[in-house]
Amino acid sequence: MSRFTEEMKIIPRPARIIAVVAALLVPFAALCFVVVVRLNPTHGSLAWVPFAALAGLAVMLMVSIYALLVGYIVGDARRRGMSPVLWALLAIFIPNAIGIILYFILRDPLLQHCSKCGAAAQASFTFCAVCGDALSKTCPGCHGAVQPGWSHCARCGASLPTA
Amino acid sequence: MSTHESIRNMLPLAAAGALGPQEQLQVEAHARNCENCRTELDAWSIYAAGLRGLPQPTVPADLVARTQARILRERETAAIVRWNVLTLCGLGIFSWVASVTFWALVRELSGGRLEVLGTNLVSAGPWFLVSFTVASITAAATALLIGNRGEIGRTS
Amino acid sequence: MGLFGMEVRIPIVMILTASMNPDTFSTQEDSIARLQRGELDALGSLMTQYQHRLYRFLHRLLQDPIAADDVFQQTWLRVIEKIGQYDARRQFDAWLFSVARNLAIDYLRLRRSSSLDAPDDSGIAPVERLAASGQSQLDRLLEFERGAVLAAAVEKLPLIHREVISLRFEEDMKLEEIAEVAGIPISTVKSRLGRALESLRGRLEWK
Repeated sequence: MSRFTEEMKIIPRPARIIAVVAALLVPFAALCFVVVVRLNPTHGSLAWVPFAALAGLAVMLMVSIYALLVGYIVGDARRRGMSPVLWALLAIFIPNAIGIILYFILRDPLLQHCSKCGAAAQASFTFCAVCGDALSKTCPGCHGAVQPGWSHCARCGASLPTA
Repeated sequence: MSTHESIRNMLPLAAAGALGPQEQLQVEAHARNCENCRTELDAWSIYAAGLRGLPQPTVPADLVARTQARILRERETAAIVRWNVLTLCGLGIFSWVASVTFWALVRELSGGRLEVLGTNLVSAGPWFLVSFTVASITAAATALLIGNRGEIGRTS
Repeated sequence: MGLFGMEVRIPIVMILTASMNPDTFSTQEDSIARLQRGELDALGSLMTQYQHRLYRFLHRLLQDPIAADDVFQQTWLRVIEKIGQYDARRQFDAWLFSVARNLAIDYLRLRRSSSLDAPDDSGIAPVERLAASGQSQLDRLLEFERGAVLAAAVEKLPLIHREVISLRFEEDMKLEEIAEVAGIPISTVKSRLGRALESLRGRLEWK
């Protein structure tokens, strides 16, 4: 669960505020629903007071969670070099929260940082664009990135030193 | 098969120490009296000794270290995959709950009827049909336009 | 992460852990028990203890150092996965070697279509033959001292024979243990061992 709390820290402040406010409004919304129902007795299943309260509760909780998720998407998109505005809009406006699911499936890997100069770089890059340092181990033959555990370069076939 | 024959067949196993105590005694007893079998037994014993002393391969110096590194990597990858699966399941559930809640809300606020193009949009059928069609089209369009770099596809 | 070493922040903890280095104090049973509880640091000492024997065995089966390296790693990965199913009353050696043996067989099935029972004549130099069958015991002994002749002959044996030879003579396992590692009845172990020895001698002396 510590991974969860780590991830939660990404959510920007405005989103957290909306979420908290929505959560606090839960009893208020429940009350509103009950009042509305009392005033308009022709509404169907909501005529039953506990159900109306539950409906108010559910709606506000959804709003709160939605705010947290959209906020998370904004924060996360920024640290992955994606457009936060675009993805936030997609998350909000694609119905049934499909936009949120889509974001999680399609998101880029985390940005890597150059160990020498600290500049951000996409995960697929092999060298730092600012200082030229290699971002990870490279193949002596084709200079492509090699993953740990390889004994040969997957691109050019050169055999790699084992250390 | 005579005793001599059957003992002869057991000689290699005797040299290998692979006989039970009874059989071993049998073989030794016979070998004491039979010159032929004794010679054979000695020959087999030399083979056995030779097999015990075969040249050994050298273990690479960093084998254990590399194995530990690989174990670490595989566990990390497995943990990431588990996390991704958990997140997507949670979001899936959320998506269903949110869509049903939203529908119920609109339905109640509109008093149970919302005429659009001749059908009641807030009855279950038309509502979910429209909303999932819109969702699928926009999701597919987004995936096609943007989705060629996904992280989840790689780690899982 | 403190997975294979102590992640220490406080000097006091550092002194304590130095004096209680798990590698010096743990017996094999300790390491295995700790592994079953999920403490992966125990793995390091276990791997070091077994590396020579396990690597030798895999090299004997696979006849390729790169393959032996790979299957060695896979074996320990599998050990971690299945340590929960290991019954501590059984011999750890036999269990470990049976895991390794099955992985080696899978490795070979994946890469070679040749049958595991057939003699292995793939690209290895032809075996020197011992001069005449009338050779004296001493001469035979001297030949074997060199080791190469016998080793070359063993290399040409089919896998199922190399397996029992290695387990009996190099690992010094009892027949029951060999049966467990190879997953065959004891009678089959005996007959394979006998046939392996006869086939070795046949190659070296009479053909």
